[in-house]
Amino acid sequence: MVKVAIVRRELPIWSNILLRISVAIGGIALAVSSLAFLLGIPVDLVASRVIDVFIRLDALRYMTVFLPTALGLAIAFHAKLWNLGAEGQIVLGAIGATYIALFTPVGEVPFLGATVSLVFASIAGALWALVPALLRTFLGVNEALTTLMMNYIAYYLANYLVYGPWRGRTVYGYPETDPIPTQCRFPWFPGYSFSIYPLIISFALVPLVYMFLYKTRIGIAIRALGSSGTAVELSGISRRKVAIIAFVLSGALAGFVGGNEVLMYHRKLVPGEKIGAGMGFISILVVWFADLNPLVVPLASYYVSSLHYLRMVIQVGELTEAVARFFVGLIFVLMLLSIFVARYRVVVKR
Amino acid sequence: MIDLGILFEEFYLFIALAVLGDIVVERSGVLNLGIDGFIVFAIALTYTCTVVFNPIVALAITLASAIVYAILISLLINVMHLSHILSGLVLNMIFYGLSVVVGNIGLSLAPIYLRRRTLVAPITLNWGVILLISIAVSIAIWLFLYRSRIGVAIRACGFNPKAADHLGVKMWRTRFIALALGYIVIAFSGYVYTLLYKKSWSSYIGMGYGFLTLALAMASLWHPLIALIPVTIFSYLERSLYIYQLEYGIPQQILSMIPYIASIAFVTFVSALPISKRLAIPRALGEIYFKEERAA
Repeated sequence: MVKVAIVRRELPIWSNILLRISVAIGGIALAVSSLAFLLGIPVDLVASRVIDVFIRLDALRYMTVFLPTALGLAIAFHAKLWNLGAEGQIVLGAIGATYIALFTPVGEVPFLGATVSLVFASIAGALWALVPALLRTFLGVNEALTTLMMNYIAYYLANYLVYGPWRGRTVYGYPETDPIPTQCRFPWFPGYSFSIYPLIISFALVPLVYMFLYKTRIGIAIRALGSSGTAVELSGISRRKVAIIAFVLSGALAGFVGGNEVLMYHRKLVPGEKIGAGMGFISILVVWFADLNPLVVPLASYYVSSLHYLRMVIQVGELTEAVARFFVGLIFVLMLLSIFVARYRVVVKR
Repeated sequence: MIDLGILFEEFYLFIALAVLGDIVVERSGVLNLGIDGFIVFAIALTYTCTVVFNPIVALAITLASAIVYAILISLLINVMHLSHILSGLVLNMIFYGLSVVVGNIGLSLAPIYLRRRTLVAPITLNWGVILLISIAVSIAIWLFLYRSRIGVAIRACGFNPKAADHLGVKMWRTRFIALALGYIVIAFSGYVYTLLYKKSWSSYIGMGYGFLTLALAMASLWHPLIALIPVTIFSYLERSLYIYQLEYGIPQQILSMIPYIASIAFVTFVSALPISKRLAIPRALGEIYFKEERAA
């Protein structure tokens, strides 16, 4: 009788890299073919659009969201803590930044206003992440479910503010706040809707997060927590402290993104669903695309932001957005397959 | 006071069935994030199949799609040993996309089949019947989970997979059975939503209710008999949003937060109590079970 077994394995680094690259290329092929067949656009037209998207700089606007969020999530996921609340932490960061920029005198001061807003946004995101972290470490409440629910609480909080007390006087009744002062905004890169400053900060974060995770005592403890909590305790570091630090850092980075979304892109507070726009969830998949390695996260986030931008470029009727979701989903299935191939081997015994 | 006919309407049945189905799945230890995508998809599928065929065929196809979905999840988390969370999120994304494609087929075919785009409900249920169905399903699921052999195995898988395996429970098979049964109930809830409650379809209708279901299931501590209490409270709040806003000036957004805050607060409260150690909640929720070096 034939028996099928699934066995663990460690893939050599070069095969792993090859695997990831082939997934990325296969993903583009999937995108082209699903757009061509489901929407009935000629293949060569789609292909040229897709190549165009990968060359143009517009995708960098999404990279300012995906890169820092994914870096933060990488910290939490290394500790095997499921932070699904990046979306909510982004919204809270946006609320924090709007508060400083719009309702305090600091917002009028050039340079200082933006800095304080971003710091305050990070603090807001970190505090939002602290709640599930405390529940997890002290009471053992499943952090995946609590963070997921806190996303919705954050959405409604932002909606309450923009429909209620913070609604602007100059917005013709739209659910928005007034625009933040010009001194506080990040100027756009000429011709595009992103700014160079948050990009520089995001790229500076890459080596920082890498150094933190691989070279510092606490970072190594975070990575060790993922495989064995007992080992961390035995090395004299509190397991709870490490878990809380990992969670709060990931929340702070997501909060930074939220603040940046307000200062750079929206320039006011908009309803919660428009701030996060599901990008917090996609960031989770970006991290796994990069196999949790902070140094690969920029590549993965560039790839995913380009795909995200592709949805805006190809506009054929109302189906486009859905088809884009569908093929992005299929690409992530390829990614899941690659995780399986990298970790397990199928053995057929006779 | 609120009228019982408004409280126990079709929407109540939809949420109650979705929560009960989710409880069956999560009792087996599967962290059921894929539920949101499937509810959205089941709603669209029911709409299109009703337009093209008739309500009975639509029911059959929607239930069949539930089994396909269960097989997909089972493939990802049982065979490929992938994270429940990643699989759920990815399946959500695919099925959100598919739901719009499927629903649009229904919208465009409706004039061809000489039907109006708004469906006609095959039956109307009064509040007594709806309450009765909800209670009957919750008791049936309780009997299944607590009084049948396979149900006990499902709960064992959710509590401690390794111990269950050593006692001779077949993990893959048990989790698949829980997924299939749970998703059949969830598919039924989507069917109720389209045919009895909304009767029409637009893009991404029903999105977010899946995650709300997870919150309500958690608030009932994954117990099928308790489940109807949070569902009733939520349904009451949902129905009386405007009353509260008009009469007491409580903003709608604050009321909408309540189910999520309440479920987190309630679970926190219960976990802080000393009895939480003896409480049979699925502790292994989201745990990937890997059976070392043994044939399947």
